[in-house]
Amino acid sequence: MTTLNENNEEKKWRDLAQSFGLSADEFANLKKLLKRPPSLEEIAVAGALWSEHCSYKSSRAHLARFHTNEPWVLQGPGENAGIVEVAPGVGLAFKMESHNHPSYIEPYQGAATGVGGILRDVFCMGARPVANMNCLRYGEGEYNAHLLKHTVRGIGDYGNSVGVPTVGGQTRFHAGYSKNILVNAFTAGLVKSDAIFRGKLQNDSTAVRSQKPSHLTPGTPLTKEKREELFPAGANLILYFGSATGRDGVHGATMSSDTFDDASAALKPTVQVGDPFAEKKLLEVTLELLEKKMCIGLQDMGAAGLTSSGVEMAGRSGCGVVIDLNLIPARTARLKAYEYLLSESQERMLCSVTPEQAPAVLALCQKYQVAAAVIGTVNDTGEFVCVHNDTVVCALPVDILTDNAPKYHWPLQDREQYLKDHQKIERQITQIEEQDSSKSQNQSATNRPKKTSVNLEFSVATRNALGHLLEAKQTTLGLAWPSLLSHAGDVLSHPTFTSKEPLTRHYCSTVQGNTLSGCQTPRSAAAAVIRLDAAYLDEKNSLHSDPFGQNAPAIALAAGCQERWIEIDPLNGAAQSVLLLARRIAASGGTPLAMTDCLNFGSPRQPAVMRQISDAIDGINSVAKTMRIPIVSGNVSLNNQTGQTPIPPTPMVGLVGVLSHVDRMTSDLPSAKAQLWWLAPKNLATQSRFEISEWAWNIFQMNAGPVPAVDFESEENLWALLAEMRMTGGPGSSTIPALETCSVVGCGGLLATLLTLASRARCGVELSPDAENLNLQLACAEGQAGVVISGSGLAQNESRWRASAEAKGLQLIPVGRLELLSTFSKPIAQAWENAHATYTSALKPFFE
Amino acid sequence: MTKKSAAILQFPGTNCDQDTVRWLARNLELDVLLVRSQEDIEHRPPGHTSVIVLPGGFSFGDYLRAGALAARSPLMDWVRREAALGVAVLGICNGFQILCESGLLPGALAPNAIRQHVHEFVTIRSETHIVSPWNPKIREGSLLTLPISCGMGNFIAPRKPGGYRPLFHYTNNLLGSAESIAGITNPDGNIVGMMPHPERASDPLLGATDGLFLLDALARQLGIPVRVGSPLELWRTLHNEKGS
Repeated sequence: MTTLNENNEEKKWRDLAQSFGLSADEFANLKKLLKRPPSLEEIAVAGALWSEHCSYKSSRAHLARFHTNEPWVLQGPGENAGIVEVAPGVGLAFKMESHNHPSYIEPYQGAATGVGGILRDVFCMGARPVANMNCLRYGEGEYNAHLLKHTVRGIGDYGNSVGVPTVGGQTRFHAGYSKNILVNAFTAGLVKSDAIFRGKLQNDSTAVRSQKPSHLTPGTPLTKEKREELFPAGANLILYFGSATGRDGVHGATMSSDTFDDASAALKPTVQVGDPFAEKKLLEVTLELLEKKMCIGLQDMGAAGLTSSGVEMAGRSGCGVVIDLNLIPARTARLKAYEYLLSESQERMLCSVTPEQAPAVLALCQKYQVAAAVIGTVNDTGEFVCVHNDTVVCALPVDILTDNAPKYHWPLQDREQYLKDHQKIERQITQIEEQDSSKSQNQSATNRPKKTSVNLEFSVATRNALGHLLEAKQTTLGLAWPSLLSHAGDVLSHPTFTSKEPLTRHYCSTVQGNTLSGCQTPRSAAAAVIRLDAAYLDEKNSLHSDPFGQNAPAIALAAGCQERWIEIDPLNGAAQSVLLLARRIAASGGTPLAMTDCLNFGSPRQPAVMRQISDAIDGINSVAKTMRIPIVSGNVSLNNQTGQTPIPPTPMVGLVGVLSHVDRMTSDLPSAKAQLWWLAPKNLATQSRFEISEWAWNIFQMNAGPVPAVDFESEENLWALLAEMRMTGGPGSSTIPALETCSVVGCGGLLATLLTLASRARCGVELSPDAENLNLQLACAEGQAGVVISGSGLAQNESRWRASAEAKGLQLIPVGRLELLSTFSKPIAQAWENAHATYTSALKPFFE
Repeated sequence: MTKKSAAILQFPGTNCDQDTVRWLARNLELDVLLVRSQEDIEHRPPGHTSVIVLPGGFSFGDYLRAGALAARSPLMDWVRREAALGVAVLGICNGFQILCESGLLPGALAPNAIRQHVHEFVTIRSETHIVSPWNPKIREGSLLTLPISCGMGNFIAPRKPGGYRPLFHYTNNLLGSAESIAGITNPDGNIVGMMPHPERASDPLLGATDGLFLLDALARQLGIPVRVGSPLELWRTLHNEKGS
């Protein structure tokens, strides 16, 4: 216990504060707010809670603009997860969170604990996790191959062991992530809407209590009388349960808000270690505790551990807490007070109970073999007080840490100037320096990267051939087709285009028995689809009338981001990016309900990055408002940059939707002989552009603006037409279904969609005359580019549906037919076979 | 007549228990009991249980060898006694590993040859001549499609021959199992361990129904009635129509 002495050593304390993440100004402000010098522990607490990760100090001003409410929102932002109603009386709790920095340093544990953290955010609200997704971004080179392998293993091993299906997400590659990979984890869980739990300390949290400051200061010794006063009998208790506390992750929240420099390798001991078995036990004990309503409030200990959970719970309830750090179950002797406060040991929970509830909670924890202890009490001081070795070490008013946390309005670059600067983005061909492999020398022999390397280049032959065809703006798809086929193998071996199955086969996507569409599932849709478990449904829907879940509702999930579009124009790019995800939900048969965001950006001190943040938020918000898809939870990860180079702006979004009936699911995989149509806006040529496509990026090494503004009307019309087609024919109807498959035209435009569909179906594509006449650039364009559909009812009634499309401002273009390879000439069949082989196997060597 | 009963074992870390309960309870007229501790079975007379299933998961975290700790829990003594009375025992995935670790089945399960967790739908064929309550009635040469999801599914045969009979073989042995084994039975046929998950492939909605072959066999051999309107009943109608 040390207290700052005003006169001398000022600089020493400033440096110390800086090592805990407080800038000189913030440190000065802390002193001013406290009206006294803070103790070491108080600096640690303030440093953690004022970090970007906990306080959103640079983004809060902008996040406030989010559209967060709709009648189906049960819990908006501000809690551990957002919740929407997906069936009468059933809520879906969900959130996405980043674990970027830890995963770059220690990919296996970094990614695993990312999954663990997001699971806890969901189940601490009383929801049983039913699905995980993850959004990953990697760059080039050997070290990124190493990161790819071990992050995927970490994600898989953790989720598989806890028993939550990992059903999808998005994995992309871009040289801009070579030194700052992104690992964003998403979890969704089901909760009965009358059983939602929140992180509070008192039952009557609505009442504003009079706060009586304790006037304690650090250094006060704890006499017997003082102790009785601080921990009065009859007060609500703070109860800790889960794994014991160690030194792991001390400084985690400050690290994850830090820019990388060469010293990063030294941060390795900061990374937490995951224990999925402990998580599984914690999950079961938490859900039983909440189901039996055995506690008042509960929150997981995530970033900044005990400090953030304790302070956040106190802040939400307007009360104070006193914690005796010596009572915390520890797995290391002689932990320092600040280490207890900052430890990010995994799989731990903090809850508040009445004195009467405490014995039962402790007994339940014992039954599940989970460590538990009463570590403090709740009071009305409005302070966060910690005691260590019978001395007060921290006595901070909670509002200083929360309401008075710094809020920065960093300058924004002018939007017009930003657009001008980013009108043309040339692809950086990063030379991955040997610095990365020197970093890996610090790793144990088993972790040393193998000689695989992520290569994001098409072969020169492919670049030349396709570049030649694309340069002539009038080239048609038919004219280019033979050349495209002969290079299809190379295209489909590119990490962006190739099958991600070598990754996703690490993920158990069928556990719990409700996955209709996930990874490697027999059925598949444009979004992940999970049936609602009968146990959550009310009497009308319950086991009695639908014992086999054949009529249950289902949820649809999609997550991802189109960073290349957003870098060109954060406003329109982000809007188009979210809309593409929503289109996945609509294509799978669902109605989008709400979203969570995970905003990954560079340093907010760069005006261009602030412009990206502000505009991306507005872009996402425009879709949220217009399409009524509120943002109910989120996370911000800033300072993803190395030196002065930020990552491409990556506001990842996780979107949830609902299917009123499992039967509504539409497949995204046409079978052999299926006839395909492109259903797209009539103004396709303006709503999608070749210059922003993955093709332009890889062949001409550049993207160029503008990114088209969203045409909401045509999007709504597209969804409406799909819904109408889905209702025509199909299960229980005498007519044949009009819509049997629906695949979203996304990355790589129509051309990439056709190539991957062919590979997934192990077929070739026989182009129709209309498709042959399509402009090649248009077939490669990205943006609001519609869907590829098939259906026997559509084939039969083509003129009717074409008229319906026209009436809605859409166009229905026949693109061709999937045919078995045996129907093609030998060289063409051979070209397709090559393409299929590279499509399925290109990523395999990374996991050997 | 009273219903026959089934016991599903749940160790700490087991995570396919609910799927397995649903698999049995939705399709068969069985009393299904989830057994978590000694207390749950201490009043059950020996032989009262007709079916015991050890579901998949990561019992006790599988931090030692998969299934090693669960195999030494007191609950397994009960399973051993019941199995000796001829009760039909099925271990799926981690359950198979537990059966091997406890000595109820010989051999061991080592890390997959491809050294990673694999989740994939695979095809297996069965030794149709073996008499076992779990041996599906499929025609010689026909295949079942079931998912595997394991990191340690590579079956290592015991040095001493005998003591077991291969029941299921992978058509593509990517885990590296001896004789491409996906599942084995004891000489009596009542104890079966298998890596693929039949309980996850028993629902037409999920696009996979071959797991119902196992329930069909169990129901026929133990005389357990099939639940009216269940996926299994529907499936039986379809398969009888096809005449298989």
